[in-house]
Amino acid sequence: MATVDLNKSILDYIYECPVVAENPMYFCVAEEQNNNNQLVPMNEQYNDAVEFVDGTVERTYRAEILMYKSVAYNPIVTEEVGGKKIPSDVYLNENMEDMTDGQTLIDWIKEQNDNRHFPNFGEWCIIESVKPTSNRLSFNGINVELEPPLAQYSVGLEIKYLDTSKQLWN
Amino acid sequence: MAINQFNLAQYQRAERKLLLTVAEWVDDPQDIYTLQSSQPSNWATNYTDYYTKSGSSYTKVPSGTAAPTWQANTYYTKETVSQFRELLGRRTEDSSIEYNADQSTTTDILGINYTDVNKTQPQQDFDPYLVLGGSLLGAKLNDIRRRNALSELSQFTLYIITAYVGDSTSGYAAEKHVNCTIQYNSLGGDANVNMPISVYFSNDVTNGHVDKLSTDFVFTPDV
Repeated sequence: MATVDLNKSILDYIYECPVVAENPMYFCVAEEQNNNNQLVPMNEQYNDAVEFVDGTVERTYRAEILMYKSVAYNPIVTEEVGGKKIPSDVYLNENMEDMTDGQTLIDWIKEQNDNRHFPNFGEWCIIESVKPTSNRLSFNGINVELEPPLAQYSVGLEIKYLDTSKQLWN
Repeated sequence: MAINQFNLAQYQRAERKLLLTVAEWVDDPQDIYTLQSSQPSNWATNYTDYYTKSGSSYTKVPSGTAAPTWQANTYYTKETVSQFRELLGRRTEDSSIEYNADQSTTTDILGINYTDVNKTQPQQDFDPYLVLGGSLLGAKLNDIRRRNALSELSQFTLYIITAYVGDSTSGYAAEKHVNCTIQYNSLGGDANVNMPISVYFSNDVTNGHVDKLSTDFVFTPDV
């Protein structure tokens, strides 16, 4: 039975997303540099697996995609327009743009799921869904010891698939 | 006839997947397309016998200079059949055959009990029984439901295959019940459409064995 490296499949898959493909991707361990991305697979608890009477098992692959971005300390300066204060276009800082990158990835994952475009987990696995674990990017914190300081954002990824390798019935 | 022993090691528990319930029915001939998960041995020479699916339509693989690169879960075989079989229990976590025995017990004047089992009415519930792509039985039951053709619910043959008795060489012990009933109990659910079913075994049973554990098995009655 040919086995497929699930981590490699996921890397191939998310590399199809343009905002991921244009930057370096690391696996498990990453050099913290501006625009570096990192895939960190999470462990699968035995309790997460659901066994069915036909011998198939529903499994869950979870991973986090970490994104490193340099931070800006520019304030969001407001300007008066028609008596109302609104954020200035001039000072919309890069922190907000970085968030947009991550949000694009989340939206891309959701779109692939809607179109049932899934990673290849091999002939014995039927993928049911690939979803981000949240609708918004998480901001995990800033490493101020680096120059420039780097912010870390994360996107959770959850893949539900049916492992048919142990079923008797063909 | 000698009783066949379980094909299990001493004290090994039989996995649930070794008990299979298979439904069989006859219908108008249909083209059945089966998705291929592993490369067929004749792929290099007979690739034009296979189909690809686009939307709900199937197209033959066009002939070319050579067979296309094999991709799992992409190509289908086509077969025209009028007898259909389906394993029950896809996506069901727990299901048991309930024998629903009717019994009566009498006690004599000495206080001794005598229990008679008068009959059994075996039944097995499958909940959830999800509406799944490719499920022929699900489509059949849904068609019966739409037409409210209730009499057609009692035209199934059911096999109980005990794969913990026998082996792949001599076959696995099986029971064939004819004129059984499969009843849909509800339709709906939360995230996915569920149509839980109950199957009622007729007890019009023939014991035998099946040669393999796949849809195209051959049932041979015991002599």
